Amino acid sequence: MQDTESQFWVNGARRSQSGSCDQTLLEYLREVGLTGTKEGCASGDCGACTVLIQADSEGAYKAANACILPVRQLENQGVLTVEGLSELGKLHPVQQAMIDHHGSQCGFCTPGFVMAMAGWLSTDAPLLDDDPAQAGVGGTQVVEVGQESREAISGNLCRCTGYRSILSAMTECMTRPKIELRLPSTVPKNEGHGSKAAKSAAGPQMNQRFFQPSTMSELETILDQFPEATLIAGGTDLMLEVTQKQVQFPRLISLIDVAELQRLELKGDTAVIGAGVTLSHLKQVADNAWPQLGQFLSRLGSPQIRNRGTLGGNLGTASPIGDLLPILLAMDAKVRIGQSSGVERVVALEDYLVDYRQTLLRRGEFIIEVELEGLNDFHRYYKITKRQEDDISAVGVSLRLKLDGYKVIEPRIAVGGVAAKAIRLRHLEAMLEGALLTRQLIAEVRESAKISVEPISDVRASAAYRRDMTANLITRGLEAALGLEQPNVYQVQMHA
Amino acid sequence: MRKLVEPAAARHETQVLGVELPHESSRHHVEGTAQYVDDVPLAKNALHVACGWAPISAGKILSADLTAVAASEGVVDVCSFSDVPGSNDVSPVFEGDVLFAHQEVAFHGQTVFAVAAESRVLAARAVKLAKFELESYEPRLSAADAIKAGAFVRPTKTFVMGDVDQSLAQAAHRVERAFGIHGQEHFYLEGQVAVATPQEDGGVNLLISSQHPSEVQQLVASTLAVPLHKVAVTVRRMGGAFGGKETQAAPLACIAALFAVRTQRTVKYRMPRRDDMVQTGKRHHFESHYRLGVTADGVIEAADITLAARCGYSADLSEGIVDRAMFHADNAYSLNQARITGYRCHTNTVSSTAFRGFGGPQGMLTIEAAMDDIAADLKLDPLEVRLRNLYRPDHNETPYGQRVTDFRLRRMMTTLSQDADYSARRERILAFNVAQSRFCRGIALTPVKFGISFTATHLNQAGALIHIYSDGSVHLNHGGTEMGQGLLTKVQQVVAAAFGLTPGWIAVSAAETDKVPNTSPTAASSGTDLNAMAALDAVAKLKVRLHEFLEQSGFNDEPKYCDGVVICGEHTWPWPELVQMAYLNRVSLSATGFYKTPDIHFDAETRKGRPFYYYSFGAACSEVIVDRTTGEYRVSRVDICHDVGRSINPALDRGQIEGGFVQGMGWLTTEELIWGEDGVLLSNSPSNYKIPTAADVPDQFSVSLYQEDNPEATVYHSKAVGEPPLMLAISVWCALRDACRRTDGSLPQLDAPATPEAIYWAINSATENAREGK
Repeated sequence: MQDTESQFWVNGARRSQSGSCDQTLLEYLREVGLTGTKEGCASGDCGACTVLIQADSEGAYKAANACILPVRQLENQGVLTVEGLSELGKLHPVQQAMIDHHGSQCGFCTPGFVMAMAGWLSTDAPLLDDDPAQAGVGGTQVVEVGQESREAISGNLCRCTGYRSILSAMTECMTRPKIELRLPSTVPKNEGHGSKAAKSAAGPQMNQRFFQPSTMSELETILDQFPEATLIAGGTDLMLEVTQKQVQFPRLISLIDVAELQRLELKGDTAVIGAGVTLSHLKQVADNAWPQLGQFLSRLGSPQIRNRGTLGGNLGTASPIGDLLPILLAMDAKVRIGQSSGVERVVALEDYLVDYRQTLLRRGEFIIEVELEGLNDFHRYYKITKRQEDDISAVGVSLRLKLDGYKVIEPRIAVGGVAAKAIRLRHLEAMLEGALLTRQLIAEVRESAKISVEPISDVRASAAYRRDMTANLITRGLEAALGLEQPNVYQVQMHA
Repeated sequence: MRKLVEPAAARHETQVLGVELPHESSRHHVEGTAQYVDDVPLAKNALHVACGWAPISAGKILSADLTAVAASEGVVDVCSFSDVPGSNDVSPVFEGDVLFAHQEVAFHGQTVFAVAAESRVLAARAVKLAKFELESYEPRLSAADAIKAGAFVRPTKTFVMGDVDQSLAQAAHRVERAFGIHGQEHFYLEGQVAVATPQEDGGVNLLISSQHPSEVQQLVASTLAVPLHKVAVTVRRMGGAFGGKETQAAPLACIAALFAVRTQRTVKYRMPRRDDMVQTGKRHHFESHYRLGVTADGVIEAADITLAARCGYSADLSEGIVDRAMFHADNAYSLNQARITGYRCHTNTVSSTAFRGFGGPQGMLTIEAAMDDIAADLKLDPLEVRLRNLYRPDHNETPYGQRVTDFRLRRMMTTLSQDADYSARRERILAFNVAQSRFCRGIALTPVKFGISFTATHLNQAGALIHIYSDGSVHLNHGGTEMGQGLLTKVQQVVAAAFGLTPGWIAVSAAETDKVPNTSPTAASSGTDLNAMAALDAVAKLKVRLHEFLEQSGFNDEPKYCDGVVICGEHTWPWPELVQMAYLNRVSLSATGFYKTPDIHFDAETRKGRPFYYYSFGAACSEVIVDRTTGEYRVSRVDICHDVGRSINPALDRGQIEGGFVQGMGWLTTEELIWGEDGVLLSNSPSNYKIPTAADVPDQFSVSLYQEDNPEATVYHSKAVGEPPLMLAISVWCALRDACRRTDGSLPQLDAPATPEAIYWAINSATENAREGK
């Protein structure tokens, strides 16, 4: 069926695509012969397909997994692939450093690493005074690498090198002035991407398969006509239906351009987070204004996932292990829901989460934003995983409370991964409410916590471990509230 | 050829051995221009394959209705057991590995039928439409159940040295333990893939990601019932393999070839990651048991070790893999009297297969766990116990009769212990742990001794083919495959050095069965040892011809090849000039080379001999910090000293050491294969099977190469380095167990992998009995 076209730029050249609404960027790139971008998993876990996306011609390059990115979402945006990184045979410095440091073995993951590193070096990388890698006697090579550079490539898996050589290459590049990226000079000057003017002014067409409205009223009009259409934000969860189960979505409405869903306000004790705010944007703001959330987000997914994934998506899928849900529950989140009629409603998150992957969201409705409170209260967010980076939690625990002296006021304890949905443990909250926070009370809460959840055993953890972790992390949070906080094992890094 | 090109200037420095040349494809890697099988453009009408799985783990297929599959959009052809013109058996050595399940279902996910369709998505949609009528049996899933039922894929074997029972009975002290060692998913970044193109003579050409092109050729030929010469297989490079593409790639080739011949169209079969994780074999799960008799000083007098491997539904390579586990159950230690028994258990799971180390890691982990138990029981330093038990001049016989000579390991361990400041750090750690804070630490220094050679002696052979073109440039081909290890680079260096040229003169090329026939798999760390020697044999033949030509031309001195020239007495020719002279005088400038490893033998009856040409050694010291309240941990410091003989390329060797270590660390820490009670693999995607990321690399990671000539006549006296470093990671597992040590000094029960959960229970199970089974 005929559909409207999407226009975008790949390595500076204008492209258009009118294929199926859920074709991935990776499929598209490989079809047009740009095979430097690889498929390793088709689920956003390995990073072999990493490309850089530039939302507008002045904007920063953000790493993304091409394997789960619908190409139609790239309307008016720029894509930089490994083929566009080196110009006229001149390698990007990180490419040269990867050769010099022997950072590739089988080479299959290498283009993805190169792109992730090039993107990071052009935006967030700190400048190092000198290269900390030292060549010692007898060919010994000692490496101590900063956490942030490890985190920058935490969404890229390499099975050959053991990463040391890759980190050395990155570290060398970090000793140089920031390496700006630019597209190959084929983009006409006054025709750069990012212009939204091209958007059709006409209303939705019956045969149209893909929509990317830029205002809420446009979104409402489209939803009114196609209430059965599937909503997609970052697609980091939804697109796995396509790549892993070969599901065909007849109609997709992309929310990433809707201006009203981009609100992000952190004011004193309260926060409003638009459903379309990406997790990396949220992290950037939270790193200063809401450090506990910022730290937590560094272990949620990978940079590639955080650059696309949204808060709304985490709420929309309502997975019991959606990492953010316990946090939102602990912060008394209220979900503002819009609908095609233009009427809005606000529901408490606890009510919104109905059951396993079930929410109150009805056909034709969408999440506008989430309102939170208690940022000035004491709060802690924890998760337990097998692997430190880019791993879904077996257990997530979030706490929040006020202390008047040692008296606990309005405690919130929320957990994920221990039931069909994220839940609050109200009887534990009741034990704490109005009580004096003592070691004795914490011990009592810990014992009650163990019998307060009925988790299941699965691929991530046993029920017994989940139960103990729920109790131990609640204990950890309450001890922190008492001023007995210690750094976690990932922060304590000194050896004997 | 009528006219020769002008000879290029060839005079240059030719120091190429021992130089840290980058990987021959590194530039293509970073530019994304290195071509993998999936990147090769195909004919427009090419077809794509998907396979239909058995939905149960054990049982009978009463009927399979594929009508809807065949009628599905885009489907061109459907094949199952009855469509195979030749043999349905794709076993590498014995029998029982089948292409399509026929009547019996042996494991969940087994291929029952295949579809060729216009696209991969259409093929994947079609296979879901099959309707099976099945009779389900209770699947057998554990080694213990297999032993109880007497169900083995191969007969049980034992190595015996001395009178174990008597020595055990008389020993001053005995230690005993049983523990489980889980398998490992290869997770090569490039999934399994094959492309078959039909040929006019009824044969097929294959592009494939395989470590064993000759076996692919053989199995495709037997599937199609055609002679081997009708099948040509090409492997330019693999996106990682690690043993997972030694036998596991062949079925894809067979299915693609079958469709190619039937449809006369090019056919690609690329497995989606989930299919790859479910349908292809993994490292063997082992159940280990040991009973050791030791002196009061902790010296082993007798060892009774049982290794039971979960082999899955068929033999595949399990004969050799369990052999190698048995060959490495001594690791670096004299066991004095020993009985080592290896069980090859049949289970209703995917057939376990080769994975870097090939059983060696599981054998080695068993004895290393025992070392720590001896030390704990006798209140000795674990390193001291290890040093006391190392092979030594009067105790150098292995349980299989080979003498351990050139035992450089003791020196390596002593030096590493000093460099890593082991003793002082261990003291500090013991003091730190006494405080019983939220955190505890552990440290371990463990050795590796790994036997180099295929234990199936006939595989220790290789072939090469070298052409010298009339401009002096050289085309190099051999049976070894490139999977990232740098084999092509090393052989290129060796040949360049032999001709006195820079590596740029030597073009490396894909392994192709129509260039070098009857090759062995690139496996067992043997790639360079075998193929570089075969290439040198070809070089030697070419040199003989050039020397004869020079002699006939009146130049009788022994020619020397260096710096791009050939020197014969007082005469010097630039290399291309000599080549052109030889060509004009009708000298053959193409030669094959051949090599077989000398001096190795093994008697299958007595189970004694010299299965290994030599041993590679290594030692690693790892330190960890653990959170007692959650079991979360970090590897805070690692020091490695690894034996590479005289390194041909230290940078590539270091890459193997670091990469092997981190891969081994993943196996023993976060990588957990989990099957449900119904035999369904639950850890079937990278979202629930976690290989290490950059964040897991030790905070401080020191690697030094121990460079000392291999006394054996290996290529330039280098040593193999592919597999041994993986086992350096045993130090991480031992350090984690050390961190879980109880206040009385005893060690807890701990299986591998030591996930945070496993560590949590190792610390807390003694005090809390809340644990439930998984």
